[in-house]
Amino acid sequence: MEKYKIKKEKKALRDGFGDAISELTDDPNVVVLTADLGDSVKASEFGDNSRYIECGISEQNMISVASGIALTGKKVFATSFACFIPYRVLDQVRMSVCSQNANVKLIGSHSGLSYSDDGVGIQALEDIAIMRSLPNMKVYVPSSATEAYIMTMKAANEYGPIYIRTGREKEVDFEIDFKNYEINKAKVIREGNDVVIYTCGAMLSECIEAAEILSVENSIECSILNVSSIKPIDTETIIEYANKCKKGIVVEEHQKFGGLFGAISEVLIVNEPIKLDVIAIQDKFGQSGRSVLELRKYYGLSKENIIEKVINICK
Amino acid sequence: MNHSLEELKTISNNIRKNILTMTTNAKSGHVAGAMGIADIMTYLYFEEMQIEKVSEYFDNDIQRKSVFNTNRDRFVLSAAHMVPALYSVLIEKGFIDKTEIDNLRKFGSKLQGHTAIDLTIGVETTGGSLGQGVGIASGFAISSKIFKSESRIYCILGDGESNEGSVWEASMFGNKYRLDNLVFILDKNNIQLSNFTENIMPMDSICDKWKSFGWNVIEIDGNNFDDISKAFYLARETKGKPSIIIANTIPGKGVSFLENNYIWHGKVLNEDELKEALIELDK
Repeated sequence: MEKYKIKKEKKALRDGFGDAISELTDDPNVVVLTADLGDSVKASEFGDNSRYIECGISEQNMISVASGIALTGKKVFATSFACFIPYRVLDQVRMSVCSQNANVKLIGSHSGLSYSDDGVGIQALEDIAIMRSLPNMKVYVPSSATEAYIMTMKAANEYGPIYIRTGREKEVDFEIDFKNYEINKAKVIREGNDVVIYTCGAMLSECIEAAEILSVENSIECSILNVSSIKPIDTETIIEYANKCKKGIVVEEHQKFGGLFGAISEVLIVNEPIKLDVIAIQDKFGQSGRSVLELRKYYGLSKENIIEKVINICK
Repeated sequence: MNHSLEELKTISNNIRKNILTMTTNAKSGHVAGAMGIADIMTYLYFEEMQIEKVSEYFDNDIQRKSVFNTNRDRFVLSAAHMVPALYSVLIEKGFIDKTEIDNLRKFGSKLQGHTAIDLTIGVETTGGSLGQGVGIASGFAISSKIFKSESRIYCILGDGESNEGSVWEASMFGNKYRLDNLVFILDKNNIQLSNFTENIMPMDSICDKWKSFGWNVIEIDGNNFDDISKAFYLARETKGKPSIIIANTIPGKGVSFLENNYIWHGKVLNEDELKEALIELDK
């Protein structure tokens, strides 16, 4: 049973963020910071120059500045590529932002393999693990441009440090009902009784394609959960579907250590241990490729890989 | 000035006694740097900064409690290991109860080993990792500019701390945004944890460095109230650029056996040494 509706046009997650930050211009307490990447991450869609601060290629200072502004009672968006937030600025994120529980939203764009052609230096495959380990930090991984838009809008009115992972590549976009969207809930995208697929980010569309093929060709019915809030994590729904399907696959564009697979494993091992496998980056760095699909295929993140894993776990 | 020179000297002497007493009680802490900045801290809190207690309120939607006016001047101790100096001045100011002097670094105490944000006692930021307070102070300052507050921002950083690249990022930022409501005070005491600064990482021509980054640079004797007073006046009068006061201070100032010796950077006095030091400070 499908619960998703695909939009006609593909759209990049960063554009969803851009739509939101443009709208947030109307909130007089929002301040946006960037480190010479405003156009790339779409922060420059923000419409008030007096509250848009170009920090130069000084990400460490940008994060500390962000926390200072936030501590004067403002809502601050600090934006860059995910390969700089959190890596370059982890100390600042931990101390200036998290330890002071400052109201700073950190936007990491071009995450995963989504800046395919730029290669290892500009790809980010460990950010979820890093951010998830920090006290006070929430971690949101939208699956589509529309979800990135909604998560940004909701995050603006949620106090405290939040990391939102966006991307560069145009991806499948989904219709989402803003009104009934609960940010901290796992979203049930598809119902099936045989295997539950836990996923986050742009891998959602690969999972959907795989599930449809499995249904038609192998008579295997998958449930799909879009776990876009990795922290806090929706323990209840994750357990419910583990209980229902008894077998699960985690699919993510991230190292297999500490990301969504880590988060799901932590929930299930103390509540509802099931047979669980993972599709993720196998402890490897990225590299250049002409398209993200080419790279996903090389690193074993394609729908064919998902299909194979699901069939295997059902054996 | 609101206080006479003698009054200021008495206050800074009390601060020095507080610093030594609380660190010996705690059996750990950073003594020398804290002693060196006692005069600057005295001047900041008793002459320069506008900060007053108001009725208790919640700072924002996380319900962070504050007892200070929202448009106050803000102080950031970027070299957060010198926090005994901050607690000591806040005690003299009456923002921290005198009895807390026994509780430095104790479990559950407000007097954490490094600064920890607590607006019920006047600690504005959390610190411990060097090179971040300067950025937070810059954030306070630009927010004050954007949202048209009168609030001025003061931040003490160390000369050892100036090894951190992020200090120079903040320096570029302050210059770019012409943060004339921001005053850095560089505590130049020539020591850092394991040796003299010149042996760890030379910071030659520190005034020229800051000048070339576009800052208004004022070099003073950081243990002389006339110098300190003039410097803060000049900083306030300087428009269109941020100011940095290069304060040459004597680490361990006030107690002869502590002065100018890096071994006291991160070491505290034992009971006998404390007695001896307090006698010297009472002279």
